[in-house]
Amino acid sequence: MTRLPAPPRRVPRRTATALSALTAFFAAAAAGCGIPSTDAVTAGPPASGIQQPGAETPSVLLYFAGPNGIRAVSRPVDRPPSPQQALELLLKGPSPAERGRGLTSQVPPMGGRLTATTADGAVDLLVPVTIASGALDVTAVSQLACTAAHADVPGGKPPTQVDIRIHENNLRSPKPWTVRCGPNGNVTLAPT
Amino acid sequence: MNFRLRVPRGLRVRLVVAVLLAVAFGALLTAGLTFRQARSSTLERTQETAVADLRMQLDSLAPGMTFPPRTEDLRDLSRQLDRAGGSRAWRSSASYRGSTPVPASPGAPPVPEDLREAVQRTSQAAYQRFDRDGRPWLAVGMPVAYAAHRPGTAGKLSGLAVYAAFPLDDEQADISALVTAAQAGAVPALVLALVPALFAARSVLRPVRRLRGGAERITAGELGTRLDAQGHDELADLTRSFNTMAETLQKDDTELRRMEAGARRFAADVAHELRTPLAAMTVVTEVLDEDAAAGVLPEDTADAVRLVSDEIRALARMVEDLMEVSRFDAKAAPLHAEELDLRTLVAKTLQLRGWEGDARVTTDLPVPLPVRADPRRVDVILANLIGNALRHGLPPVTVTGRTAHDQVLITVTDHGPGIPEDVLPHVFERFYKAETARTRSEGSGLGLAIAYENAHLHGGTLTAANAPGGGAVFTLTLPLATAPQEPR
Repeated sequence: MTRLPAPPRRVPRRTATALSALTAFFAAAAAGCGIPSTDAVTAGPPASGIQQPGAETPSVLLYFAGPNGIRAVSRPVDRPPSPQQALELLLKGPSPAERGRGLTSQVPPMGGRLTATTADGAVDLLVPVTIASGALDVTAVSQLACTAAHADVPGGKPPTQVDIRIHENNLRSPKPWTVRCGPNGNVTLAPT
Repeated sequence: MNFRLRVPRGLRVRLVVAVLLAVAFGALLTAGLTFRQARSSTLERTQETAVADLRMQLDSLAPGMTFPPRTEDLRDLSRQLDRAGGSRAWRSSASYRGSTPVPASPGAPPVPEDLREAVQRTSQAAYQRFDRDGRPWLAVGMPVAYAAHRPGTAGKLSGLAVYAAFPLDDEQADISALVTAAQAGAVPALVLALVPALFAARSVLRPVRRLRGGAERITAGELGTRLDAQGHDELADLTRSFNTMAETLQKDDTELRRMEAGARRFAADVAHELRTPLAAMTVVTEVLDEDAAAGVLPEDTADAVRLVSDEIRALARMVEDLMEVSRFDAKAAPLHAEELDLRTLVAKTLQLRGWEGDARVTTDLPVPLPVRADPRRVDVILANLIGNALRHGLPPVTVTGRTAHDQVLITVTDHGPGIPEDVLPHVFERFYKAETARTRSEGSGLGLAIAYENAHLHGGTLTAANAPGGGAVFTLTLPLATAPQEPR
């Protein structure tokens, strides 16, 4: 009968294993306390909205006041809006994203209805306040005028050539303020 | 790996360390899992917010873009995005058809190549965390598609891609705060764990200590020791086993004592019963001895009578010794102590035994040896020692007396071969035969045992040893009697 070799001493080895496991655990716990780097991780679909050349979808341009002057924002719509529709969108103010970029509306609440009617190459804009009293400053007038000029105005004139006739106190006056939207969104008095 | 952990030896330390390690392990595991969960949710929220913000801004900005964009348009887009900032002051840049991203102003952080590559390959939004100058950063990449012609249909990709990057300093601070909080929680947990650990150690150690105390009491002879075993744990079982053991031990001890007492009483009774017939026999043999001495008896008969009377005398002496031993065993040996000088006693003993003037016995007693002792018993000791030395050793036998500390030392030395080493521990045992071949000794075999008991009766000791030059040395110590210190 062959003699079996003596069994190995177990306790020290087990202790050593437990110790090394414990040490590794503590080391791992101490190491992973920062913010680990990652590979590139996909995070959803792309953004969209760019007008494809040759296949423009209808959109409306609204003018808001920004830190560096008046800025136009483009919003997609189903079909080209009338000046009335465009102005109503403008009066709703900037969207959250636009506000995030620092855009605001300088058009004050005017306590009355704003009416825009179109003529050939011109828009008649009836406002419930007087401009001379300072209720509408030049930025507000520019927002209103440019938004209306870039809407669907019959006559086929380019927006900078459209006359915006502003009638104060909702009264159709024979001598309105006639302005035009400049290329940078600033109004100029129309040449009489 | 050549380190060795020194395991603490005490049970208490080991228990406490084990409990604390377990608590630390558990706390660390819990804290680690909680931390990972909190960290990933913090980072996920930041990433989702950043991606959503960027998408919202681009959805809003894209319809107004002139297309295809010039570098100027890309820079303008970046500028507006930088101003928007979203949830964070990110720095953005825009790229068209894989060109180098155009930032709003120079100095914007570079976009990781992996991210640009992933955005272009997958046509999906993507984010990547990366390390820049030791700070964690998050970069988000977002391709922009054309507006859909009909609602619900995805447009084709325009080739425009926008990237925004910002450092994750706030998240880093939050996560560091988490670690600090975990540490702040773990230390009190460990300290609190010390309390149950100590309680557990105590609940284990107290029965163990009581068991040790019980074992020590039993060792000290208190066989009636019992421990109360409460509970049903292993330690209570151990305590019950201990009690059973103590009971068995006590029963055995009682039985042994009973048997020993019986044996002693038997010996005492036998000796006592033998005394009367022996007295009669002694008287008869004395008469016969006289007759034998007078030549009245025939020669053969006279020899026989002398032989019988010798044996009877030896038998009588042995019976007397047995009676004495029985008295010692029964603790009934009376001590009639008196103040005396041991020198007188030695002289008296020598005179009484006919050793006075014998050249074989010399004495060396230079100083007075005051003791308080029973003269008869000390005489028995001395006679036994000297007689023993004369019988088994070789003359001259020297009796030396001196005082040391508060003891009187009497040594009896002979010049024989000494006592064999294996016999030495047994010389004071009863009926111990040094030479197994010699079946009978001249004495009763009880002499040294009686001398030993007598020495102890006086509060002294009797020891046997061998002198360096051969010869047995018996040393008797008795307490020194100093008159002022003995109030009796």
